[in-house]
Amino acid sequence: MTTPTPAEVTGLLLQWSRGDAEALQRLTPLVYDECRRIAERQLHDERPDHTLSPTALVHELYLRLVDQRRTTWKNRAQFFGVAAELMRRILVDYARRRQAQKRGGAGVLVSLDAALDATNGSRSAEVLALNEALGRLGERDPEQQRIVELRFFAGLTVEEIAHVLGRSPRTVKREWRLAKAWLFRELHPQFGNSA
Amino acid sequence: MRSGDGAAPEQPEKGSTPPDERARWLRIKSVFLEALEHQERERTAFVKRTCGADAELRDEVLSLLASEKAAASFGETPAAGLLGLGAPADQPLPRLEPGSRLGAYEVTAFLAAGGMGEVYRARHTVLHRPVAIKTVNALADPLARRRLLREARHAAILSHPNICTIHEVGDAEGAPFIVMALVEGQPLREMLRSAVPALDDALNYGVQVADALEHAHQHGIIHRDLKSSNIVLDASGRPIVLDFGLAKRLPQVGAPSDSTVTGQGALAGTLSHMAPEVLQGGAADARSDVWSLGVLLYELITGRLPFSGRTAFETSSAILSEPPHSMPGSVPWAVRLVIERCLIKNPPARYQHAADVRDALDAIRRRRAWPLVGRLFVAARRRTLYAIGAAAVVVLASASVGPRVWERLVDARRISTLAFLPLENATGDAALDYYAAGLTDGIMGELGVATQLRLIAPASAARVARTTDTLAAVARRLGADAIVTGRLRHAGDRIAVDVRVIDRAQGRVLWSDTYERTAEQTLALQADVVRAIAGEVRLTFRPEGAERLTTVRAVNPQAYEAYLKGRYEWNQRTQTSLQRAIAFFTTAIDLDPTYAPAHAALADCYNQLGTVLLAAGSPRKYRPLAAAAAIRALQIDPYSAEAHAALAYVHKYELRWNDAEREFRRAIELNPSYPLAHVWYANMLMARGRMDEALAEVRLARELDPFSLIVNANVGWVLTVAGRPAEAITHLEWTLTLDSTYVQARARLFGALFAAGRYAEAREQAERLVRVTNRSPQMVANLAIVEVKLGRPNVARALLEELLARERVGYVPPPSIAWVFAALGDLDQAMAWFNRAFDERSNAIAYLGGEPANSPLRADPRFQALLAHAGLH
Repeated sequence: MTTPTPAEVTGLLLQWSRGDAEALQRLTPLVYDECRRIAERQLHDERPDHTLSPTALVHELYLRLVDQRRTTWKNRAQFFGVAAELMRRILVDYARRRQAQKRGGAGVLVSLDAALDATNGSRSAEVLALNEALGRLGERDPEQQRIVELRFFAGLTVEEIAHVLGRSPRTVKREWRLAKAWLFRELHPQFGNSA
Repeated sequence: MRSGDGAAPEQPEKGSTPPDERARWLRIKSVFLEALEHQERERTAFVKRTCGADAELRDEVLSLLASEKAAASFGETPAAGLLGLGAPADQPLPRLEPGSRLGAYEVTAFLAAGGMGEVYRARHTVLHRPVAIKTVNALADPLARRRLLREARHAAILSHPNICTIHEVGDAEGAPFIVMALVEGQPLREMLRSAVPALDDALNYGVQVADALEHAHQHGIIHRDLKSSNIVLDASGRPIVLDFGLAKRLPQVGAPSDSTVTGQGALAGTLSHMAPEVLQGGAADARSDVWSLGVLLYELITGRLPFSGRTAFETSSAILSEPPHSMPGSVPWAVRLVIERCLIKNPPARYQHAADVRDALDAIRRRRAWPLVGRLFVAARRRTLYAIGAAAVVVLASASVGPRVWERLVDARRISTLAFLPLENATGDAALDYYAAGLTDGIMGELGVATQLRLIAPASAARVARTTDTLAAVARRLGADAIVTGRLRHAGDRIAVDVRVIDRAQGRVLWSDTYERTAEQTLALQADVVRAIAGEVRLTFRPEGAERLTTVRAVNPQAYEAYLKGRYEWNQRTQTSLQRAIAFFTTAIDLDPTYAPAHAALADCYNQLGTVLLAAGSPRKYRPLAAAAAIRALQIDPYSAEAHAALAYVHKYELRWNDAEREFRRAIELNPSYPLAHVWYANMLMARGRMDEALAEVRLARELDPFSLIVNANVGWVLTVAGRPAEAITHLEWTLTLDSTYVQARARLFGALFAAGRYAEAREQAERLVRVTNRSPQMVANLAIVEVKLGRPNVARALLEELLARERVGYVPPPSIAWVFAALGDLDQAMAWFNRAFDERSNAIAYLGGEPANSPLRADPRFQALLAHAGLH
């Protein structure tokens, strides 16, 4: 597993931007590996409390993998979209394994999990439920799905999301409120029958 | 689907929704978002009104609004937090009560908490020594814990007054803890929130922190997270650096979070001080600590951060690709340059060692502390906010030379050009001739940097004075408003200088005075004279000049003597004299390693030795030595025009045109009266084909030093390349009347005659040059080339054989050989040798662009490729 170069990643990003869907299929695994590598490093060495900061992670991914001289803000938004989606995947995988262990499954522990298991208070079921609901939201509103990924999974602030997407913070905030309302109702069906 | 400014690429969305459902959702969305704009109690009415008969739409929106209200905190904790991976802010932490025992220590108070442990105040039960103890939670990842403890044990070897000492790493029933000195005081970060320290204090802190870093680096320990919040000013005002090598892994006292940067997560907290290479995932090393030190210095001096943005993203982009925010004009140049050099993005171009930063800051600090006069001056300057006018100079002048009659000086403010006669050696000791000459040069150099005066060089003034009756007439002939004369004499065991300034119009003495110092204080003596002259003619000081006058230091008299002797040898400009000069400058440096002029002069020597004309050896050998010496000079004295010019010279022939341009301009900006900077810059402009500018620069140099041989030789050269060989010939013939043995002028005369097609005369000059230079390779080549023109290719071939034979046993500049091959029509061989010349970055390469259009080389694509490669067009 070698670290992808910025030239490689940037090239794929630009190809994808020009409509080459296959470029995304090649881009994703490259970024995913790097994403996971940074996550493990964060958990093991460098963070004061051995926590994961998805925010720092996606920023780092971007700075490390994308040649900013060759890209526009639009490519940046695309990249952050991919990174947030990968962050979502990593966290959901993690939550699934946690659930499996709770049910007594003998999941193979990769090093990432070994460190994480030292902590308590997991609410992995909640994360998994939200993940599923988010899939349904994405079917009707991909933009909102992206905002939720950036906010909930990648941990970006509203201002950062606005910056990444090239929208106003106000717009992002309003979209986020609707997305939250919709997802909350999906997870708490009693609200569906009210009014 | 998405509006035009959407962020995702043009590609099909997964899970497409039927169009009518899609439209329905957009309608729901728009009513919902609009409802949010209303007061909460009005929302239901608004929705009912808007939806009218569409009951389904109404119910859907109302349901979502109800959900929105209930979902206030939903989703606001990011997934990582829900999974127990996020910051454990709300996790209860086990705390040790006061009175608890940890090994030989008793806890007296709780101080702070972090994810991996807590910090307590404690004391040794037997020694009663107060300490700080950091505990490491058993819960934490065992691997990381082991590493942390190992590093703590490692860092315990550090012992430095500015480093928080680690006393021991203990273990209380499986719960490890780190015992360190208890530092009580205020973190720098907090102090900076209320006020920026005075410059002297900031420099003091900087020197001490840099020294602490150097100590740690010497022991192989990198701090990794140096910043104002983990430096504490103790009770005596001494900065103490906390958490070497541990900072990223431990909770910090008094610094719960770095709120100067917005954003979430711990990366954001320290992002502001993070080096670009670390930000990009590289390993931290001494140089990334140097970067952080630069950020810290910037913060100390300006109260702000050099890189910041509204978001972590913006901040990181700034660190990676933008220059630091500009510093206020009040920050002295020297300080600015040190900080900028710490904040160079490319680690190899940065200061490589914390010690370099320490030395540079220390030099500034010591110079600032030196003379009382200087301090008065600085105080005055601060008050007038850089409108350094006559008032400030009055303070200075009266402080330095005592009360005086100002009425005499009413006319003095008209003075803008000053000529200098060399100081006369009236000691009766001929051994001090060089000293008088050196002191003259020193005063000139300082005055050039300190003021905006145009200065006419002493050698030229002396030449005019020999044939002119009165000093006023000398001044007039040189176009100067006044002329300075002086003499050097003994005054007991001290050295005295008597100085007079004479007006050009009436020839009256504007003022005269005497300055005395011991031999050690030669430089101070120099500064005395400079300050006095500047004060008397009521000059406006340039800010960096004023700064510089406050920074005079003592110099070792033997070092100064060696330096002056070196200058004398340098001026002869032969291969052997330059070698002797190098020996003198090296001696000066050995005796006084931080005497910047000696380093700059050494750079000049190496630069010359690597040229085709002197041909002492390959530029590959000499140019790196020149670069190193120039950079060392600049580290010590960032204002040195000589050092900037020497560095520019290196850049020029390494074909780094932009760097060369920048350094030349800086040199000229620092001392507009430094003739060589103009000459070398002119050569560069000429190489680049900017002939008008080149001519303007040599003209300027000539005004400053009208009888200088080197300046006049270059005037001739530029005229030749500008296609004006006839004028060049006249000028160079005149130059040779000043000194018929001057090789450079004669070599340029050969070039001009050759360009004019006057081959027979050119041959005569070439033969003479071959003789007087002891068959210098370039001179032999010149002769060969002109022989070809005169129809004697066989003679040329014999000379070429000589060069090739000599090349096999020693150094012959490749371009010399290339020129002869080209003249003989062997373009293959010529190109092979030019390529070798290019590889060693021979100074001849820079001038290949000026090759006449009718030369067969011009038509050769390989030659064109070479020009393109060299950045010449």
